[in-house]
Amino acid sequence: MIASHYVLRRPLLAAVIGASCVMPALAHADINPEFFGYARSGIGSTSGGGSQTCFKSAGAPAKYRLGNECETYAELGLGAQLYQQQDTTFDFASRVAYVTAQDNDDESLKDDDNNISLREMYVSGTNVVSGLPGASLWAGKRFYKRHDIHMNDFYYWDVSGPGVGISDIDVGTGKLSFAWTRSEGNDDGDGLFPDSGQQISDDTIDARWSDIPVNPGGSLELGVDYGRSSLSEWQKDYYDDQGVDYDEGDKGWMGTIEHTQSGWFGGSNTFAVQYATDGIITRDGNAVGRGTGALRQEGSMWRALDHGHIWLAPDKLDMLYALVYEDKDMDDNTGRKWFSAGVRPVYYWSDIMSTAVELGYDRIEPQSGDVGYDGGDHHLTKLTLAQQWSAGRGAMIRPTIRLFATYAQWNGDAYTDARQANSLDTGAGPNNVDIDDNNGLTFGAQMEVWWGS
Amino acid sequence: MLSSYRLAVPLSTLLFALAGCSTPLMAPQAPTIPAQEGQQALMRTTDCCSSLASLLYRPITAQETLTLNFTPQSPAHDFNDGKSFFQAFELPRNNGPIALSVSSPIRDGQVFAPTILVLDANFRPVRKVSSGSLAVHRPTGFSAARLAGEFSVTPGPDAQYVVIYTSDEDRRASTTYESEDKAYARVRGLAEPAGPDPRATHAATGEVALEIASLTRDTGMAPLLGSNPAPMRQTTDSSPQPGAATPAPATATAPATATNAPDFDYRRMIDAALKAGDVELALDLAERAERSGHPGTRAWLAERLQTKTP
Repeated sequence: MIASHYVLRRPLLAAVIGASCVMPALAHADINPEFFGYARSGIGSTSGGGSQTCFKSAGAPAKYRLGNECETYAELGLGAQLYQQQDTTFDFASRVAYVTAQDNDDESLKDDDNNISLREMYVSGTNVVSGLPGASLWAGKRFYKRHDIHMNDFYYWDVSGPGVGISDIDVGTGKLSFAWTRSEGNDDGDGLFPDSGQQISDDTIDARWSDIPVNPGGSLELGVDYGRSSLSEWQKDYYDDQGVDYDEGDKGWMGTIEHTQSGWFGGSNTFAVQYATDGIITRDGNAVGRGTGALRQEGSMWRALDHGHIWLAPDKLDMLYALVYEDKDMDDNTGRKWFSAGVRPVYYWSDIMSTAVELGYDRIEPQSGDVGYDGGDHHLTKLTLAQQWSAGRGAMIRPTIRLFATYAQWNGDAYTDARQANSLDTGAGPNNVDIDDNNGLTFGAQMEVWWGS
Repeated sequence: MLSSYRLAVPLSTLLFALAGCSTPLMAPQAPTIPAQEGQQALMRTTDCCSSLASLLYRPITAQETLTLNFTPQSPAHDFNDGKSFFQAFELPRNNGPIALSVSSPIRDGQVFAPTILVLDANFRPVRKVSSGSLAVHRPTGFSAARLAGEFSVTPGPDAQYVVIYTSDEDRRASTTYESEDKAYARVRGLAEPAGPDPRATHAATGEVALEIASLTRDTGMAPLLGSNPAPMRQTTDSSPQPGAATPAPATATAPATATNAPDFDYRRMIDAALKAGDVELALDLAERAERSGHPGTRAWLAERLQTKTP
C-alpha cells in the first residue's frame, strides 16, 4: 500500500508542478475586492398612535413604496475579478440580504419578521467558451437578469436562484441567454415533507433573446420560461394516494415580450406583455416566470405593464411612472384582476434637496369571494409628500434621506374582526389603523442607498 | 375622520422640512453648457495672453480642493495644441512633493477632458498629462461616471506652474462610460439596459475637481525651502515660442537653480515618495540630488529599494 501511494503521489506532484508552470505568471493578479449593495431603513409612526402602518391593497402583489416601507432591508455584496487574461475573465460575486422589522436596537435575525438570507454566490466566466465571444458562462446562486418596476418594488420577471447558464451570446441581431434555475415548493405536503430536503424541487428553463434593435433607441426582448415540479417517486405515490391531480398544475410556462425605449424625454420607457399558465402562477404568489411548487392550481394569467422615468424640466423636475394590468384567471375561481397606476414627480431645489410626491392607486377585482380577503372589488389610493436630501439630481440617485408623510384611503374595512386581511394586506408591516378605518396617515423618515464599485 | 390634532405632528414635520427650501443647502450647480454652444463660445473668446508667461496664475496651497469651472467667462488661450479655456496655478513653494488629483464628472453626455501642463519657473512646459492617460471611473451610486487621474510633482524651479485646459486632441476623442442605470442594474442584479454604453463628447466647457495634497504631510516636515522664500516670478526674455513647447525634462538649468536650496532634504523627500509608492518620483529626486551636490543619494536609494523588495 505504501508503495502504491508513493508511486501515485509522484505523477500527481509532477502534474501539479506542470500545471503551475503552464499557467502564465500574469494570471496571478491582485485581488481588488468589489463592495456593493443596497439598503433602506428608517422610522415611522401612524397618526393616532402606533408604529408605521404600510398601506397595501389585499390581493395586490405590490404597493407604492415612497414613505410606505416598514422594514429595514439591506443587501451586502462582495465580489472580485479573480482572473483576467486578454478578454477572458472570471468574476466571483456574493450577496447576503437582511430584513428586520426595525422596531428595536437589538433585532435577532432569527425572529419572526426578521431574516438573513444568502441570495448570491456565483462565478461567471466571460469569453471562456471558444466560438462564443462575449458570452458568459456562469454557475451558482444568483440574481438573474431581474426585471422590476422600481417605484412599487414589483418584480415581473425574475427566475433568480441556484442555477447554471450561458448568457449574452452575440447572435448578430441581439443576444441569446439560456439558464436552468431551481426553486422549491411545498404543496400541502406540510406534514409529509418534514424538512426542506424533501420538498418539491422546481426546475425553470429560461431562454431570452434580448437587445434586438427595432427602432432608433428602442430594443426588444423576447423570453420564454418553462417551470416544472420535479416529483420523486415517493412524492408521486403520496399525491396519488391523496387523489391529487398534478397532471397540469405541476408545470407551466410564461412568455414575455418587452420593448425598451431609451432617449425617452431624457429617460426611458419600458412596455411589457406577459402570458403565463398553471404551475407558474398561483392564487397568492406573484408570477415571475419560475416554477412555484404548486401542483393543483390551474389557470392562466395576462399581464401588461408600462413604466419609466422622464425629465419634465431638465435638472429641475423628473418623474417615475408605472401602469400595470394583470388578469389572473384561476380554474377554481380564486384569481383576480389587478390594476395599478402611479406617478412620482420630484422637484429638485438644488443638487442636494428635492421634494417628491408619489400618488399611487391599486384596484383589486376578485374572481369570487373565495380569495382569503375582501371578496368585493376594492381599491386603495395613496399619496406621499417627502422632502429629500440626496447625493445629486435624479430619480435613482442615492443616498437619500427623506422625511415623509403618507395618506392612504381605501374602501371597505381595513381588516376583519380577527385582524386578518380585508381591504388591506396584513403582511406589509405593523397594522395600526383601526379595523373599520377607511383611511390612515403615517409619517417618518427613511434613508435609501445603493453603491457599487 | 382626521382630527386636527392627528394632522399636527406630520404637517409640522413637513413644514419644518420645507422651511429648508428657502435656504438651499448648496448653491445650484451650473447647468451644463451644450458642447456645441461651448465650442462656439470658445471661438468667440479672444486669446487673453500673448504667451504662457502672461497667463494669470492663481497661487494654491499644498492642501486644497478646488472646483474649477470652465465656462465662456473663463479666460482662453491658444496653446500650441489648440485654443482652450484654461485655469492656471502657481504651485506652493517651500513644500515637498505634492499629489495633484483631477476628476472631471460626465454630465448630460459630455465631459471636460483636461490636459495638465506643468511649467518650470521660466514658464517652459516640462511635463504634459493629456486626458488620454486619465482613467474612466464607473458611477458608484453617489458619484457620476468620471475621468480621473493622479500624479505627483515636486514644486520648485523645475515645476512651478500648472495649467489645466483641453487640447484639440483631447476634444477630438470621446469617452465611453457606464450609465447610472446600468450601474444600478449591476449592483441590484437587474437586467442591464439594452444597447451599447453611452459615449460622452469632450466639450470645451465643464467642471474639474482639482485636489492638491502634500505627500510629506504625514512626516510632519518643516518647510524645506524655508531659508530662501524669495519669490522669483520672472517675466523675462523667456517668452517661449508656443511651437517649442514639447515637454522636455528639465536638464541644463536645473542644477544651477536647485543648488540654491542647500537645505533641500532629498533623502526625506525620497522617503516620502517611496511611502507614497511613487518610485518614479523617488528616482527623479535621487537624480536631482546627485546633480545638486549630494553624491551617493542614488546608491542610497538603490539600497532602500533593495531592502523593500526581498
